[in-house]
Amino acid sequence: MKKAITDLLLLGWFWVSGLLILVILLAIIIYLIWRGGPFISSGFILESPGGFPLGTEGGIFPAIKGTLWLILLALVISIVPGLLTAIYLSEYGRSGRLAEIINLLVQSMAGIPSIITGLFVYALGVVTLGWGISLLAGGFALAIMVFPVIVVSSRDALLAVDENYRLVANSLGVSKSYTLYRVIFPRAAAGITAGLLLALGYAAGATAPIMVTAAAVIASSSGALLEPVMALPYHLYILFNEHLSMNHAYATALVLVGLLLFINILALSLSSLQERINRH
Amino acid sequence: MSTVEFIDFHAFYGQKAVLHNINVEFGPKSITAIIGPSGCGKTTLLRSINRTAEMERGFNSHGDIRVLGGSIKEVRNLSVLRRQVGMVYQTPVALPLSIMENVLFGPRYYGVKNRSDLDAIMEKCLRQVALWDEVKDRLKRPAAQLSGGQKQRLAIARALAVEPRVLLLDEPCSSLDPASTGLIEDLLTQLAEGLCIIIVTHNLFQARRISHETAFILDGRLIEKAPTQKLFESPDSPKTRGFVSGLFG
Repeated sequence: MKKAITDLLLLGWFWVSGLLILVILLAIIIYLIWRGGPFISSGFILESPGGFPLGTEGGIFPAIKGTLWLILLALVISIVPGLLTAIYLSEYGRSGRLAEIINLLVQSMAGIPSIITGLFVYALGVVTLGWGISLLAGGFALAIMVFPVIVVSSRDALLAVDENYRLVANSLGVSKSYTLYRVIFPRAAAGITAGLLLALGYAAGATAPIMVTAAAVIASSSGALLEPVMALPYHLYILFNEHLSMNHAYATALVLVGLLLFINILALSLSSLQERINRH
Repeated sequence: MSTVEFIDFHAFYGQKAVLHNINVEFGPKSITAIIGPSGCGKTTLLRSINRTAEMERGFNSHGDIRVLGGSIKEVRNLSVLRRQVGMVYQTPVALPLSIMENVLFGPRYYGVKNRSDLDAIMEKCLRQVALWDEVKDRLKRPAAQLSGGQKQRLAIARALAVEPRVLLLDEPCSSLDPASTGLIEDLLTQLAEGLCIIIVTHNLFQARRISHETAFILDGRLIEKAPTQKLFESPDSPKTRGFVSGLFG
């Protein structure tokens, strides 16, 4: 009887916590729609910032473009080392000493405050290598930031593939790379892609690493590697911090949240597809 | 000449010995059943032959095993050994590929490219396991759609496709219904005309039905190996007698 009451209390607790999170999330989105929604128009999305001070009029097109460039570059830089590390951990190193050390390192990397990553890339790329405040430096900083996310999500997607496949392949004497290419990787592809998308979303929302490496108040965001870019979170920060235009700040925030929601929903549907694949 | 020969073979997981001083031979063109209680080392013995046991962390061994006259410890390229020694596991495993590609998984790796060669290998192997008639119209469908018994026969076909000389089976029928079990037993009997087959089984009736010889293992020691009928009816060791008459298990 007493145990049943404990279960009931716990269950109630779960529900309250879950609802609380849902309420907070909905409140944020609704508030953004209420404050920012009326200012979103095709002009806001497709025009450059204007007015004086800058940003009080016009739109945020270069910031959208800049953010897309930044996350694309971050992905391009981090995808190969990220996937290779994940493959080493799941297929080659397994529970070996080196794999343990790498796992620890990746975990520690995930714990680095993103502003520290930003300052590191500022010192190394922006100053020492002479990149200046640039798309390249920002993409590099974001790549360092998302690398552990990619490693962990890809590793887990690979490890979730039925161990029996590896056993069977091994007893046929085929190489690990052949098994990986024919069986393991195709099997984990949806999960890996979901992880990459989550990493993209994480990069799109990050402000600290690009503040000191890539972002400018105004830029065309043409995609040139050695030029600064505008970015949604930084633009939002400027509008908000300098009290330039609260209306535009909320509208920018709404666009950013919309982009993140889109990416995350895509990632979620891919990972539920992966779960269905794993069950068969 | 024996096809597989254990010489003073010991195996350990960490400090714990799992096989003690095994000396045994397995001949060509015969089925040998390995019986014994759970945890006695049957599977380790089987997996030592194609050197998959050593993938387990902490596995260690001394002594030797010879396959077709060559020491497995001196094999430089494990694919050579694992091609000679096929293995089928307890759980029927269909790789997430088509039925056809399951059979051709090994041959493609070993460099068979010619379309008609590949087709010939596939048909031959599927016929050998009596699966051809059941699947010939859906070779390109996912193998996951097959039943458990069909998957297990497919697993045997996949192992046969690289032309092994030895086939190891680790309780291949323990998750199958009696009809599928019967099919697999029949095909093993046929395959034994050209292969050295070693089968670990929990099912003493199965051992009696299909094997020419039976080996009894207890606590990592080979107690007795004899022609199956003799081992079941007049074993030398009282321990064997106790086990086969169901006194312990």
